[in-house]
Amino acid sequence: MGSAATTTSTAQDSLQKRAKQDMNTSVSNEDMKRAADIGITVLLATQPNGPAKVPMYSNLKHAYAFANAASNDGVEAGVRAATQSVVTSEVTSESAEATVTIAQNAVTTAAEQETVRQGVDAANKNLQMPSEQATEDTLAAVMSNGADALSKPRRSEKESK
Amino acid sequence: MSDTFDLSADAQQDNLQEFMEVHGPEGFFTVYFRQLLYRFVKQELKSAADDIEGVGEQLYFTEDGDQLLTKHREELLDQCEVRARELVEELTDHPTLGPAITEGNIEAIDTHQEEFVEGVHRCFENWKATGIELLDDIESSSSEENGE
Repeated sequence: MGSAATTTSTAQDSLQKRAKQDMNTSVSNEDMKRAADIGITVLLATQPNGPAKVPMYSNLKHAYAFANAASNDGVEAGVRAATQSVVTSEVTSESAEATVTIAQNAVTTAAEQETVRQGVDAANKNLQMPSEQATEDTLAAVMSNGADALSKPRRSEKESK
Repeated sequence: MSDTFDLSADAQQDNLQEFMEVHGPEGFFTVYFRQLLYRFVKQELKSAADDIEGVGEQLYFTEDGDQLLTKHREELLDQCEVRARELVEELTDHPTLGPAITEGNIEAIDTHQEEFVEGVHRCFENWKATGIELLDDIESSSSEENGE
């Protein structure tokens, strides 16, 4: 590693440490807006680009494939759509909680297979875990709460400052 | 999440239909990114606990904690939703990826994976600049208070 790369890496580490300290101070001060903003705009935004984003993309795509098919033809059709060729479980007789888990597992499996096919380094865990957790959260929220899973549309709103 | 799971498969399908009719594919993308940002922020709060003394760990470990922590999580989620909407707006403004998302056309979305990753990257780059300003602002105000 050359000196320029080392300097960049050191600067990055310092930036991330400052951001984590700031986030915790913000939580102490009950300023959750700032804690979220620092986490997202510094720590998330400084994650590696390119292949690191593939798990994020893959989980979203397969989760959407599930939701789209399930909303039209039922949750079993959703699981088939999410997994395509992957063998799936019978879901109609399962409990609702189990259905969410089956759907989430189907999406995660399909996303992992796609990620591996694209040669993404398994070390990119910083985004992979939140991507998988977001899949389960999203499916549970939408399947349990319907339209209330999201507040009313506010497409042009930008109030983050 | 704290959702209850006492619904039949038909009721779940009805909820999915209702969500799609009201919010569309963009809404689904927004919920997903809201939850991803929220999970990432919580992950980073937890990882800070080892080397930085802070209260982020409490937020993480008291999943079903008292009302104050519930309020904090809701505030975190609200801010994550604001950012998620910005990100989805950036993606849907793209000339070719945008229509694929708003139409919910998965095959078309898949042909634009590169544009998706680029769009996310561009949005993050914009956020990074403002994030560093946020960090620097508080440090410069601390220096002023200390008479430096």
